[in-house]
Amino acid sequence: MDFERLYRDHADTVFGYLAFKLQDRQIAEDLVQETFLAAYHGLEQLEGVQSPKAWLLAIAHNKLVDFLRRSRNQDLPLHPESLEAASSSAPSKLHMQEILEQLAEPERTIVYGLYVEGLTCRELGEILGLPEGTVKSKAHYARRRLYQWLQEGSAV
Amino acid sequence: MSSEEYKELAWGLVYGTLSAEERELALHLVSQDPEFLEALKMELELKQRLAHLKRAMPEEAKERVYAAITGSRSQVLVTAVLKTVLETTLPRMLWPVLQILERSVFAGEQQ
Repeated sequence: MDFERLYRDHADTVFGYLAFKLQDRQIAEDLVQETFLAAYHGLEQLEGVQSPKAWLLAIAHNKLVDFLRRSRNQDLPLHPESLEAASSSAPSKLHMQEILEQLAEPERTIVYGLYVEGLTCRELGEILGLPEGTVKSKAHYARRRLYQWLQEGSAV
Repeated sequence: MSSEEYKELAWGLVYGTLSAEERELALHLVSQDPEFLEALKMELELKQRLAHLKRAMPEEAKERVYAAITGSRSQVLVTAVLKTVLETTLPRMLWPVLQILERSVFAGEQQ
């Protein structure tokens, strides 16, 4: 796969993941650039990769961890408001967001990966650096809570 | 089959990750097992409710980032080509001078 196609096919996915995690559009864009630069330099690794999407998200996740470590050290502020314009304020969407916020990490990210990106537990394990079994058990727990909330009608 | 396995299978059916055998089993369960059907409904509802979390990168940002990456790629290429040309054309005695220049440029970049 050439670099241009890789970028065109997956830029939205990488941006979406970073924006979800950071709630900051500007920093998400910066990290998309860092992610794809690293991908370009490691493009030869892609030949042995089953899922380019998971491979890119793993790079993006590492960039995110680096960024958060740097920002903690340098006390860099995030700007959560910069995504407000992009997100809808429809009540059902807000409730779903609130419900997700009740999940701890990495369950919240696992739910995002499973339901928004359609990633398997194995792919999520590669991205988050966790064993597949751990992702599965966390997915079971998160799923149980989501089902419970849906059944109670709290996500209306 | 446990209820967790039902949910996983239903998720796989919704997202198209099942093998041919698993898919056959899932389709069989849809018509035979109310518990699986319930899990399938829940998985579809979750997919629909969480879909709004997916955010696309603004087109202008996408183009800007791509240009920045490919720009830096060109820079790397130009540097590599120039280095090869210089290596083959410069007299051997000028190499130490070039290396000193390279080091000072590198040191400047690090600051």
